[in-house]
Amino acid sequence: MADKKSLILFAVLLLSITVHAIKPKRFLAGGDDIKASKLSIYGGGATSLMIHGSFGDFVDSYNSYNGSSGVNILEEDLKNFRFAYGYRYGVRLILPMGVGFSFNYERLYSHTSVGIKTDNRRHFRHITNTPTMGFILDKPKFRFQYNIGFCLPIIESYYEYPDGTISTGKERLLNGVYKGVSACMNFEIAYKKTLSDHLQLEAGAQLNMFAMGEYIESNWERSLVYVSNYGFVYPTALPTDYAAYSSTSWDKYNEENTVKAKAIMPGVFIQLVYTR
Amino acid sequence: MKYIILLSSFVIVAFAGCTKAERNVKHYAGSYKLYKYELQYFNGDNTADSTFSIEDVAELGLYDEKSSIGNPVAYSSNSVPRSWVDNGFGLPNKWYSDNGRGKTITIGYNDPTVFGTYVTYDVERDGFRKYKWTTVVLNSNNSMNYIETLYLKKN
Repeated sequence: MADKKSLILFAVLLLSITVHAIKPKRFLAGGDDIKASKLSIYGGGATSLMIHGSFGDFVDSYNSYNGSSGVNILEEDLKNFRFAYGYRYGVRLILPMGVGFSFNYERLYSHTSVGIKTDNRRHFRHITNTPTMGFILDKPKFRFQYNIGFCLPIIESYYEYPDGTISTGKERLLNGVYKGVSACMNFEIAYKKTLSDHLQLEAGAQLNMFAMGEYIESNWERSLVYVSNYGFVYPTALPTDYAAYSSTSWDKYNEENTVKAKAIMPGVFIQLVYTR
Repeated sequence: MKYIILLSSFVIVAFAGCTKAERNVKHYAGSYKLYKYELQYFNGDNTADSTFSIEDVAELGLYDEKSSIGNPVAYSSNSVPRSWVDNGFGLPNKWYSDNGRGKTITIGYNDPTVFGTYVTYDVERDGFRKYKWTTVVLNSNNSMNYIETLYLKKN
């Protein structure tokens, strides 16, 4: 609930900035008018590297516990998330003086998995949702943009059985849908190629960063206090110490030992821009 | 026109950031017909053994009372899914979805005086207004005991 209130406050702030930015015509350069501003909608694809150190800690401890030096159930080592790909879209308003702002949304997917010797497979899928507001410096051939907003990263942890059945259920310790709420910042630079009066092709590079919070499984049942008569209670977060996690000594929610929603994602994008 | 587009986009972006669990609950809430129930049994080595199925089993109601700790469930039949019994609750009194893309539905029983029990299903679309809920139950040696599939049609 707290994150929803923050989002609403953030939204009101953005709306207020928007209204003030476009309403007073007297602030525009001589003879310029709001009607001369350019409204664009855009959409395209993006791909990036994913540098996720905190999930890397989980991967190391998972491999150490389950790999050949541990209980030896893995066919190979689990690897960290490496590449992400997905789509982006948004709307931007460029004022006559060549500055502007935008509302953007980007969703990137990344996946990693590991084979288990019993012909099963453990999967992790990372989904990076980033609704942001951008500040733009627009030049004839290039566009520079700085975006700030929220990142709502999700890790889906699921198990694949030999017959192909996928399960996110509670029969396996790590299974679940883990979600974080982070602050996000993004820089991007794009080269613009005009295709027609209203259509442009943009290609560019971006650097995404998000930080803050943990990935939490929202299934509130997990967070109930351990009751010995009723068996094992599932942890609500992904661990950075898998050995402790898989033992009965695991504190079901210990912020010190959980995977943090924190990553750096340098990448490229290509998109079509329609301007009126 | 510009303002309308700009405002609409702003609303879309703000909406994209809102809590997904509430949207998922709203999406799945409704009354369903459990038109087919299937249990696939496995041998101890994860190889398939036999399959049991019945049709026209029950009516299932998933209510949305905007509760953050589970919304009410109504179930009409005495034929209860096996996983509900094996997980110790029999008839459920609550349900909720995950906080991501609505990949799962958790259904279970909660009594404030005792520890709650639940089953988490993976949800797949299986046609127009049709869903397939699947859960896996393991043996004591961690191999598959059975896969339970509920075929549901939203009324």
